Amino acid sequence: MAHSQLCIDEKYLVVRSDSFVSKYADLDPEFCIGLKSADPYVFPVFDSVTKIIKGYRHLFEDQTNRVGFIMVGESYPKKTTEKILETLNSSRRVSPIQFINANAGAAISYCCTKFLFRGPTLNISSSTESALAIADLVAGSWLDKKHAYGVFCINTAMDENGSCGAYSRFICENVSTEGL
Amino acid sequence: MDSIVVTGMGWATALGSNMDRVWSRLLEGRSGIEELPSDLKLKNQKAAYIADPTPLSYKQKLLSLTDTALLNTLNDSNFQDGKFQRKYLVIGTSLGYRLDSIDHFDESLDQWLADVAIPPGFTPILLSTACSSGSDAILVGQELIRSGMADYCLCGGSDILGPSKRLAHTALGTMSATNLKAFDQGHDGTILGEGAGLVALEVEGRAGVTPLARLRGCGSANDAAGLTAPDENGEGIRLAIERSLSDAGMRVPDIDLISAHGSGTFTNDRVESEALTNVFAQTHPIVCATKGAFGHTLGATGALEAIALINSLHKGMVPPIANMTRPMDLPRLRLSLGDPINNTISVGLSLTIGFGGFNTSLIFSRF
Repeated sequence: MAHSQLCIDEKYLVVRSDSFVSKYADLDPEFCIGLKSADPYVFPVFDSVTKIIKGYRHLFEDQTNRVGFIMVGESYPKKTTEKILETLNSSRRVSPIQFINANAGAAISYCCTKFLFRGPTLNISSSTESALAIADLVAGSWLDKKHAYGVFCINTAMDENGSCGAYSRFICENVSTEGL
Repeated sequence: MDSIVVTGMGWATALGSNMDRVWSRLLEGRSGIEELPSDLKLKNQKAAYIADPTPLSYKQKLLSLTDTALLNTLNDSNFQDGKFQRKYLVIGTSLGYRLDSIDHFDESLDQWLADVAIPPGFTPILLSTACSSGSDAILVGQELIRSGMADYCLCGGSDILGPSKRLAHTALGTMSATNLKAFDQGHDGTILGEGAGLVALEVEGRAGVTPLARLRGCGSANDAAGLTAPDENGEGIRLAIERSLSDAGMRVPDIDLISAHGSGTFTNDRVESEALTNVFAQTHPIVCATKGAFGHTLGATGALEAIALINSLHKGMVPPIANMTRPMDLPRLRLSLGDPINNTISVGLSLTIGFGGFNTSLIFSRF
């Protein structure tokens, strides 16, 4: 995995990471507890976020209430949705665990819960250019308004087989890293 | 900064889709919750559903409800197509029809919205943040108008009732065995509903249009507590409210009225009322809630709550909380009980609390 810390201007710093992890077993064992029932679409999102947090822990110290998330793209819990429909058709039941994991914003919830992030959150279920532009617009606004100290902007993609990938950027106030 | 105003609203609810008629029914304390017989093993057969004149698939129904709200909002806002270059339709839905039909489960999530938005020339944007979806659509609309990226935005939520949601809320234990009685001592759960609601946002000043309200501020926060459980200390709710106040340049005493989430579950009503009490302990705002009337419409609820709040600001009336007869003991909050409250309301706040910890707070003021 390649991740990089880039200073885009004097105001903001950006760290990037991506992931195509598709199995629970491939997640970082330090952080993956609690994700066993998650839909596989969560894994690359969680993995890319975890890599940034692990690589740059100092960026998150004392800031958990002001770390936000915006996820944008076409990924959704496709496999869980399929399971729900199968069970509904075969036994007229719906598993509550599967139902809550069918929420398209579940990946954000897992990340926020695991790392206790209480910043603003948004999930845009679209991968159009407009949707990507809006994600950047809202992230910038949250930072400017100080609703967030840092925002994870996560672009997701899913192929026709349901395999997912995530490209994450953490954009935050530019803090000095000298001496760290 | 230019003022962002609401110039029109439209809804499709279990109490109807005519704005004034539904508003009258809300003021009368009426409820759209009725028996919806089903052979499913449900805790409760009741639901706030919208009867179809002709049988519709789940997808067709979502399209139809959204279309109804869209056309009503365009008419209400005296929409003039040539006036606007950058028009967006921003809609939130929780699960839409995705869990109810094998025919559509692998469609891209925003396909249906493109079908609604593109013919009238709008750019579609679909959001999904569970029960805060409709509120978050308004938050995004505010950002689009404020930045100049859009000059006219239709924003809100739309959701339908299907067997998966009814079975899941039965299994989750969140469905009421009796009825949805938000903030009532006898509350025991929620009842699901369906509907759509939209507001038209634009910059103040279009000739010939009298706005209904100003959108003053929006704020969001995550609970960081899990996929269903809220933060027991209401920290996410507090942060969302504080961010919306800061965005509006307002303080706690400025809020006269709160349109609460009020889902009727033990957990929601306890956590929400404690959070509101903690924030508003010194100011005693009026609290209303619409789910006893519309059912819990999931992705649409934030929009329906916001529309009810804007009507209260515009018309100076606050509807009672439907089905609430014995209010919880909440001395710091003025729950709207019995007859509608006739009062000039200057500023109101609409709050939604979603599965996955999605909290959103919107602040509107009277025009």
